[in-house]
Amino acid sequence: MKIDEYVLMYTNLIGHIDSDCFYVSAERVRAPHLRGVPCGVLGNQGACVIAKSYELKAHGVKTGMPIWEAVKVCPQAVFIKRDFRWYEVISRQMLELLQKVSPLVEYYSIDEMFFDANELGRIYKQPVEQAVFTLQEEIRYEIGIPVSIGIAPSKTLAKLCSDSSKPYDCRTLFTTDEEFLQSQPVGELCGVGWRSEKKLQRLGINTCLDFARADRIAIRDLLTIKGEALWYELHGEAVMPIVTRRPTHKAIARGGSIGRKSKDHARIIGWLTRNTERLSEALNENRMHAQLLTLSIQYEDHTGWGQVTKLDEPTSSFDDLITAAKNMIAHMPLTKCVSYMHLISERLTPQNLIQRSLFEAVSPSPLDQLKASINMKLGRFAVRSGDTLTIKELYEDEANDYDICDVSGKMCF
Amino acid sequence: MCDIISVTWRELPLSLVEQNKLISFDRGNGEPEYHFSFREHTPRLPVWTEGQLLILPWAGYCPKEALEAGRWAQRQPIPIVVPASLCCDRGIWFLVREGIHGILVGRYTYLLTEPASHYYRIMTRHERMPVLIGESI
Repeated sequence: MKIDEYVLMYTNLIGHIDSDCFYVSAERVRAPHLRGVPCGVLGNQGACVIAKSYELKAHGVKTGMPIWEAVKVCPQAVFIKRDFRWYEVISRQMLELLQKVSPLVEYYSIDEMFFDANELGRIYKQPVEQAVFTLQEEIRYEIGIPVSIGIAPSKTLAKLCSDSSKPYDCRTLFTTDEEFLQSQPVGELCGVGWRSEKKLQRLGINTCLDFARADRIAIRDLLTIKGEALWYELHGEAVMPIVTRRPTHKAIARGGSIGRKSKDHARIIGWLTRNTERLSEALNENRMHAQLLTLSIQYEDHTGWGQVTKLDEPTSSFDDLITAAKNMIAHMPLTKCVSYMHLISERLTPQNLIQRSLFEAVSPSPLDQLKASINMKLGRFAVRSGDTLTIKELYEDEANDYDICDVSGKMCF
Repeated sequence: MCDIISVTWRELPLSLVEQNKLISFDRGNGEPEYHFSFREHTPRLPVWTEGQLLILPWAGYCPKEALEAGRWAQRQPIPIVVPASLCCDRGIWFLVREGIHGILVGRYTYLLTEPASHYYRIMTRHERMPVLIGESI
């Protein structure tokens, strides 16, 4: 059979690329001596393992495990501080490479991408089931990241294929395959969490094949239209399209841990200011204005406090946001140490669709724009608010400038 | 505080390895590492000084604050670079990208230390950390 015939045969193929232990693999790109070594990437605090190599996993270390427990089971393990800026660089390289072999690419997450796989045969001049291995090799050779790839008629099947191929393998399904579906527990389906899994198991639906054979209406009654979409997808009907641009945000939030927990008002204001800077930047990047701002605080004893402010005008201006945020935090009880802080902007409207007032300043303000252009040249937060000077560690460590949510354009967190 | 330093075999010339009778350690990936431990009877460190890679006696640690305050000035310390790819502090091995700052006093080397960052303190439960080159933990 000629190559062109292969191309014509497989008209509706979707690919899913999933990097194998992405953070660790990205670190190994710049530290090749870590290859084959049990490695763990630590989270924002340096306390927990947020990503692990297969070698570390083999010792029983799980994601979220505290470092002191991980060391007990694997004393020779090497731990690495997270560096989201570097992971984004590698992720964008993968995205760029994939865009060369596919007209449609969905940036699903920092380490996962969906793509239109119909061109693979034509590009690599091989049948698709071979071309996928060539693509896998190319990614490994060009970028240094091992990936697993699934090709199937729908996104759900493609993801099942790549997940079941880990580590470092590929699987191509041209039609739905009962034997394969039988081998996959229903909890492996993207969108079926442990609660849904329990509900399905009560009905005797334990595998993906059970799910596909179940009555569609019964699945819809149980798991809404999202479950019904999965049912179609398992039958090889692609009802979830490849989305090449992230849909408009309904809310944008920034925040997280404030480093060491604190009752120090100046320090808390420092974090509030940094989170507001990040929020204002994110709003401007997405060309959005917010009309509602929520401040959410979590104390060391896991109790919480929050307040919502309706902003006078839809805005993305740092000055407007920090004024509102400071007004809210002035009411915050400070009898306990604060551990986490989140600022959430809602009721978002595109910046170009705002009715401008005769009296209010235009947002983003000229000062915000100047700050953004300087920071674009000199590095993020090169120009920043004086209030953040109280958080010394922010300035000692550039890695604090970036978080996973700062990787823009991806479909999920 | 950073009591073992690991250097990959690629960073040490064979002549230096043989001359100093260094014993390699395999972490399981077939890439030998050489460990320099402060707990050894006669601790040693690999150091870059005056463009030469040498292995010299490791005499201890020098607080960066004391060095900057001039309290080591009388000993005429010379800045050195300690090549390292991994460090171990209280049993925690962590990645080092370039190396560690140190000083040379006569033929004795000292690792520079500074107050630990919050991240390092949580990671190793140690109050002081080595002064790393071109990075912070």
